[in-house]
Amino acid sequence: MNIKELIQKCCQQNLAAQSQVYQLFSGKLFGVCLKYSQNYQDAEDVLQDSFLTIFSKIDQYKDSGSFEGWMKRIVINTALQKYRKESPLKVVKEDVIEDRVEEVDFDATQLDLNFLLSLIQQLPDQYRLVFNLYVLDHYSHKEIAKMLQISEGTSKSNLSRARVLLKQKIEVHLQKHKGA
Amino acid sequence: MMKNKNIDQLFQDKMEGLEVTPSPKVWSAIEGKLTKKKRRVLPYWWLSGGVAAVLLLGLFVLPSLNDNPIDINNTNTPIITSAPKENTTIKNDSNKQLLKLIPEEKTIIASKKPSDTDMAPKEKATPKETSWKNKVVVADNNTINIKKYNTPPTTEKNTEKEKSTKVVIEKPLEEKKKTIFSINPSDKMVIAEQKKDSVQKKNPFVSKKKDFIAFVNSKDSIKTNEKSLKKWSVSSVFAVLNSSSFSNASPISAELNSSPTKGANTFSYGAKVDYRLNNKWSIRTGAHLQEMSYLTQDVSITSGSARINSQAIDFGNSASAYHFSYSLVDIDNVMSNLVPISSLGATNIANGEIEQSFSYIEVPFEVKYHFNTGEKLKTGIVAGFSSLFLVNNTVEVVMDDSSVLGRANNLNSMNFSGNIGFDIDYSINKNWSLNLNPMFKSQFNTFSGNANGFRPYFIGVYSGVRYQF
Repeated sequence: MNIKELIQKCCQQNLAAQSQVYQLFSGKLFGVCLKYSQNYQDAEDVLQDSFLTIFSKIDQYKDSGSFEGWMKRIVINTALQKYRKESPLKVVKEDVIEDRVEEVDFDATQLDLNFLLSLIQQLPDQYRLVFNLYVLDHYSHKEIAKMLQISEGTSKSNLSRARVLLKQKIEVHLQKHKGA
Repeated sequence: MMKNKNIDQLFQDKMEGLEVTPSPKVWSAIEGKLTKKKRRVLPYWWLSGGVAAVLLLGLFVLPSLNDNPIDINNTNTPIITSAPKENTTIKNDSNKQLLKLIPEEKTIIASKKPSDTDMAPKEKATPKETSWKNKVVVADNNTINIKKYNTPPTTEKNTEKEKSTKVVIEKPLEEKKKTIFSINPSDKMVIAEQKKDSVQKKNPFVSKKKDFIAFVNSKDSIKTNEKSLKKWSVSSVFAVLNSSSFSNASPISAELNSSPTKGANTFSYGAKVDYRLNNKWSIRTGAHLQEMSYLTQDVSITSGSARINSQAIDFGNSASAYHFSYSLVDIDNVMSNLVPISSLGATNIANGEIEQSFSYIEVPFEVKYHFNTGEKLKTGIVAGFSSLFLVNNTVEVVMDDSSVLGRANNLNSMNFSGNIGFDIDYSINKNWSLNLNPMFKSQFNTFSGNANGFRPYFIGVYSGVRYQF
């Protein structure tokens, strides 16, 4: 059964089709959730809400571009809604962040996916969202500004601050484990 | 020291195509919510269907001028080119359904909904989702439109296909159309009689189609989100009302309390505007001219030239004494002829009724909660209040012919009613539907005073034709 058929059946709330769509795409979409969320729990919530939205709005997807892209967009929007609401105006003090020397719980051999993912998750919401949108999902600052309802300038500065933080954390981490 | 580019690159490389399997509880939660949504609809459907049926039966007692030609045409079906008198079939859910409806002689309507991946019972289709599938009408004469045959079974499903599968043949029918209610959302088949001879000819035909249909396993009808498209609707309203009161008192005079006061059947007409807020709620308003009348029966009426006094007179068991206290009624005119019986001879007595009528312009403000039901039958519950503006009021004596006594001066020129009721909509096509709306409305502060605790309410069956856009 091809995707189109699956989608049509989902339009009719066919549970089997919906289940299959979930099987096919939840892996990738959960990856997106993890990137945008603060932690695993939140990511699961985002995934759940996203799929419920996907299934309820699936009749609005009319062959307009890639289905996966459409779903991913919904996931990102769901995540943005979650975090955008919570801290649009929070000003994060840089020194506070620098004091946080995180004990990153990971395997010494892994400067890898899990570690990097956790670094991203630990970023303050606004930095994380911008970093993901720009670096990992390739949105422009203009688009990001719209989506997060901030100015382009804010988007750019959040991005550079995010990079600084990430760099610092990686360096700290590498140094810590160099000696070990 | 890592440069910007490297940082970006590092993350991009590592996070590229990140795929993580979520824990199974996520899907369980999603599944739970999806099925909960579906299941929830059914009980409401049953409840509203049952209540609506009871109400309909009960209200047939009232004289109703509006005959609801319950024509079950599915609004979701893109094309039904059936003859006006023809019956139409009713769809049903994702399980296999075969509906055969043969309106008298010649037309056979076969409809079958193909079932695809048959799920567990959980997968009951909600009435709101499905509609006509593969409707095929085969008739005697040659006007068969057999586009459907040309559609290969494995065509990809799209709306075009749906269109081509709806084949309706016109056939002149003499008989009146039958109406079918499909109440059971799951697996109920409505089968009308077939005339044997006309069927036999077609049986192979029909069964061939059935097999063919069985091949087609896609859902032809796409859930049309008509709700999101149609926010406004206007409808004309015509109603029959029966007025009554919570108490037995008479609004005209305390002395008439023991006379039976009954409400007469009156009419109301006007228009209604409905705005749909979302899937479940809509608000509505409108304007109606509403006439109400109350009859006080068994009243002895005398004529004479003596003026009224305000003493009650006891007539015994045949009728109540009456008099009108000065404050209630304007006694400028004929009223002055009414006198206590004791001052007159018996020959001047007549029995009659006093009829009080008044008319209002009613402006209702109501909220409607929709039970999501099928495409053809939508029910909902309505509650709200109305403002009523008095336009007309008279009090009349009804004997051999009416003579106007005057008007009640204790009626407020503006008052309110609280309304509650049910709303039933039969869709004729995409935009039009017939509307039946029994309502109970209780009036507040109808009278400014001297009403002896008369609390009017009325039950009306409002019906009309509604246009949605």
